[in-house]
Amino acid sequence: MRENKNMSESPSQAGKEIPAKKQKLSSDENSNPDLSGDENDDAVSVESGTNAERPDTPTNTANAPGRKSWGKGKWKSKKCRYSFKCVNSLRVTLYECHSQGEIRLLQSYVDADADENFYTCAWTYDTNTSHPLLAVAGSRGIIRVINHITMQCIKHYVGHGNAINELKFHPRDPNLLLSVSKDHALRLWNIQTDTLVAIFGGVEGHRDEVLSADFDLLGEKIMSCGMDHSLKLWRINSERMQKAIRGSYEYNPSKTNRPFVSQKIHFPDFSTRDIHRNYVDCVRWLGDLILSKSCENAIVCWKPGKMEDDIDHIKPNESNVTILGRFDYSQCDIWYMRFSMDFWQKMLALGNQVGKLYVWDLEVEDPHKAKCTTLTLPKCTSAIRQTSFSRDSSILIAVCDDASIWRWDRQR
Amino acid sequence: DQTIFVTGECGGTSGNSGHIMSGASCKANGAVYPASSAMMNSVKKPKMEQIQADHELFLQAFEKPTQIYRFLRTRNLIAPIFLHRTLTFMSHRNGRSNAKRYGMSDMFLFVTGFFFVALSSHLQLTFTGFFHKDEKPSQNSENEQNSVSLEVLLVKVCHKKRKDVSCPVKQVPTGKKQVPLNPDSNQTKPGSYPSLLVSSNEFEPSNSHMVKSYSLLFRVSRTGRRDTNGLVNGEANENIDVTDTPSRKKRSLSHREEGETTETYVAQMTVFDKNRRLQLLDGEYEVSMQGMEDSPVSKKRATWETILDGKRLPPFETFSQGPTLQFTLRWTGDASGKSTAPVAKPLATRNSDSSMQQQKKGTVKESVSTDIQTRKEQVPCEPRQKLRIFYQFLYNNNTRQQTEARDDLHCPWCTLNCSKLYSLLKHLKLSHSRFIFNYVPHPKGARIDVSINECYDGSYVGNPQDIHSQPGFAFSRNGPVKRTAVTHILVCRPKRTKPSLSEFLESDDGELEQQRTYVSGHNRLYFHSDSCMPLRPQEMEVDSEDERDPEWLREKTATQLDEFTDVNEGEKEVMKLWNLHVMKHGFIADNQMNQAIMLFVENRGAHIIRRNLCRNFLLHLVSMHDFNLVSTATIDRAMARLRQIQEELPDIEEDQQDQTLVSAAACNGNAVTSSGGKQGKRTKSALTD
Repeated sequence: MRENKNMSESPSQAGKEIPAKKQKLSSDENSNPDLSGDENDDAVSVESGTNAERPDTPTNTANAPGRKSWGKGKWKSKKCRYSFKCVNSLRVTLYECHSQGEIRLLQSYVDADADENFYTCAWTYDTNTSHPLLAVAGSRGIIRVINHITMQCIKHYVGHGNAINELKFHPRDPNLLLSVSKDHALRLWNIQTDTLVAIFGGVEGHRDEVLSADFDLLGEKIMSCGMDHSLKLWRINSERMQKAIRGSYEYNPSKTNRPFVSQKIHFPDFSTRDIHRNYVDCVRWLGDLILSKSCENAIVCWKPGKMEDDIDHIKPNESNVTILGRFDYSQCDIWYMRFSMDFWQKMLALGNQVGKLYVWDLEVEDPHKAKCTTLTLPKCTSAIRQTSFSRDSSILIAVCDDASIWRWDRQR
Repeated sequence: DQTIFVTGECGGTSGNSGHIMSGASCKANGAVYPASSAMMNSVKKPKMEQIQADHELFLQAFEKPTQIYRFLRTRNLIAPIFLHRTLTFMSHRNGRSNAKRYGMSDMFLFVTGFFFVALSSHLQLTFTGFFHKDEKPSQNSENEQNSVSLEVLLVKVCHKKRKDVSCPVKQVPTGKKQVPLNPDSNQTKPGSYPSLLVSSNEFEPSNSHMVKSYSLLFRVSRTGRRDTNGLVNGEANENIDVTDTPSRKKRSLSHREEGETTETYVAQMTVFDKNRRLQLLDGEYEVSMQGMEDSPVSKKRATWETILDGKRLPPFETFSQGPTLQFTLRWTGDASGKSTAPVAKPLATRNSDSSMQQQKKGTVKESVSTDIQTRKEQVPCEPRQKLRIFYQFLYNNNTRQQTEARDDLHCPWCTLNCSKLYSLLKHLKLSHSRFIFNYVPHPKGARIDVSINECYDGSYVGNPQDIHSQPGFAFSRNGPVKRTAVTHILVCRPKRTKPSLSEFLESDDGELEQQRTYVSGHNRLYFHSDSCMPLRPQEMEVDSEDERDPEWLREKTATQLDEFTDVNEGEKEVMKLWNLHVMKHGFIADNQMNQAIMLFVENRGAHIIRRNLCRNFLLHLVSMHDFNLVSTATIDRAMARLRQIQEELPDIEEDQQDQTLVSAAACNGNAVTSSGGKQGKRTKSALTD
């Protein structure tokens, strides 16, 4: 909790000039031509000689020049070490976070189709070359895998019948990509052999757009949620799925004339509509518990079955759910607002529709008492769609509807 | 002044139609061009804005397609999809003339002549010297430093036999020679060069293995001094092997036994390749040698490279820097006889004439005319003197025009030298179909009317499989790629008309048809119905997606039956089995039920007995009878068959659990009694557990 407190309130050495920098950068939003990278560097260089005088402001904030003013689309930011990326409209942009609050634009990719509107992205790496790879997808329902070392789109997967709302990579197998789509289904791809391992959906699947999904820590199960107010559990450690995943690695299209047979998983291993009464637009595992939110101004922490039930022994027809806690906030009743957790699952961050950022410290004994810190800035007033922590949770990135990116650095 | 712009206002005021307009402009142009300056003066000078507005319109019409074609031109240079020289109408661009190329008969000669050459000709190699730049010329008095030891081996790559893992390779040493190091060509007398003879016997087929290809392996070992050791290793650098033969396989041989101070360089040249074509003709050769330490360059990632005219490219620099071996090669009938094989001609500079054209822009006339002289003209009306091509751009609904003249036959969009007017027109028409080109003969050369093709179909006409192949076909290519294998049957082979310029003249009626894009075959892509994934052409035959009882439906049926609360487990199980059976075979009518039951007993009888479900099944039959679906005779037959299966079963089930046997027997007994007794009797309460 100390960290969070520091983040918002405590003075720091950089206190004086960083707000100034923030103003400059914000003014760049209004396309002030005076601002340039040189000035940023100047500001940073002044820092060491300045003393703290402005204790009441956030210590380290910056927004990257978001000139892509047509960004009304959904946003997502992600980090890979210190570089992160943003997707909006038909553009994918890679930034790098440097020390001293600087954000540097590295690369930008524009889709060939002007109708494309990217919603989501996910990092992985090439198991052969160890190159970092970036998967992006959006309204056209085509997944593109970009290698930003070779600066090429190396893979593209067609198959989803509609827009893709979220992409996730398996936590332990960097080749397994999960995509959730407006076509009511989830798909699991093997990007090494270009095979579609499985489709989750159908008879007992989601009855409306799937909005979000998450692998558990060991990658044994998937929790998905969507516009049908439901949350569904899909196990992938079953014999059938494990066989399918193995088969996808063994499949070689040049050796056989037979198509790879994708598994069609029509029946989830657990399903509930008792947690939320509206679109469920974000879900994450927290150990064996689940955090999910709807547009009801609360993130709910719950588990399937009764309190004492083990998640791995939940029956598909289990009808009980146990709600363990709620994280309340306000002014966040529009949908497609994502919360995020840091890698160690100790911090939880969510933005609301007026540009306010809520950060919870989960590292407390009683989850009900998780302390909430709000981070606000006068210039940041539009809806923060997505947030993301760096791996060491020292940097928090928030992206807004007005095409601005905000960076918060944690002060230790 | 090669380029002249004439901006004419061809009836801009009167609303003439496009056809009349072009006719008018034609006349205007014919008159305008020779006295353009006079014309310009006489015409009232248009205002600046007018010119600008007109230029805007011009750009509006032509800018975008031009940009596209510029991009395609660049892409075609970097990663060509096809080669212009392979097109029939561009055949003159093919640098190799047919006369020089080995035709089918020559190939036959080589294939059959292989033995002829082998039997009659010896391969004579005369070594001029080993050149290594970093070594000082052989002024040293020491004899050792003046020469290097050269070993020539004949490498025979044999055909793989069934047991072999890789192609067996045989190395036949043919001799060792001392070759002068960096000799001064003035000093050495021609007769004193070391010479080596590879006997014709070596090229004879050996008994054990069919030899696939022969190549010569040169191995130069030099006892270097200590101080140069590091240097030599260092500068053996990144040389890609540039032996001037297609075979570039390097074999790493352990050849270190001669001590640390020995440097070894190797090079390999193919004598007969695997098609048994002779690769080494008589001539003087200089082979770039490679240090043994060098790891062979990976050939996995092939890339396109464009060799520019006259430009010295890095690979060839190795000849000036790296160690090279010079020798003269002769095929001799006997040890001192005359050459029997054709003599290799020195490589002609590629595209020498085209480079000349590019350099001397003003003097296109000569090159064009020489072109014409050297090549047989197929187009009779081709003028021999200076050709001037007038491009007349029509835009703004064909009411405006701009004329641009060129003095060469280069395509204005992709700067391709078409050399001939016919080729140029054909190229323009086929490669730049976003425009309409109409040819009009002109006393000074030709006039080409360029207008925007409103009917241009920009949709993808290629193979849709290419779009879905991984990675994408268009933009992620680094080099030549294997295309998706699709067999197209060519159903149409239109008669090729004799090339004539008249085909480019503006036709009166067939206009629209002419501009239609040519699509061969049908480019259809199919998708799997269950996953929406693109179907590969090979998968077309496999179709298992039309089954009546998909897995999910079977599962759904089962779970729905499980939800019943007023039937016991045994009944549920029979119901599931029965429902799946009906679903699988698609029984839909009442009168099919008798048949359905017999089939059910046949397929599921053993399972029913094993699971002790005989009475549940009987109950099912009885209730079906209640609904008048089956006759009592069928029930009898079904139960009799079940009993029969039951009797056959124990043999198979010998190794199974005793319990099953016992219960099966019990079940059998029950079944017998009940089938023998009253049939309509409901025995629900007596059933399982």
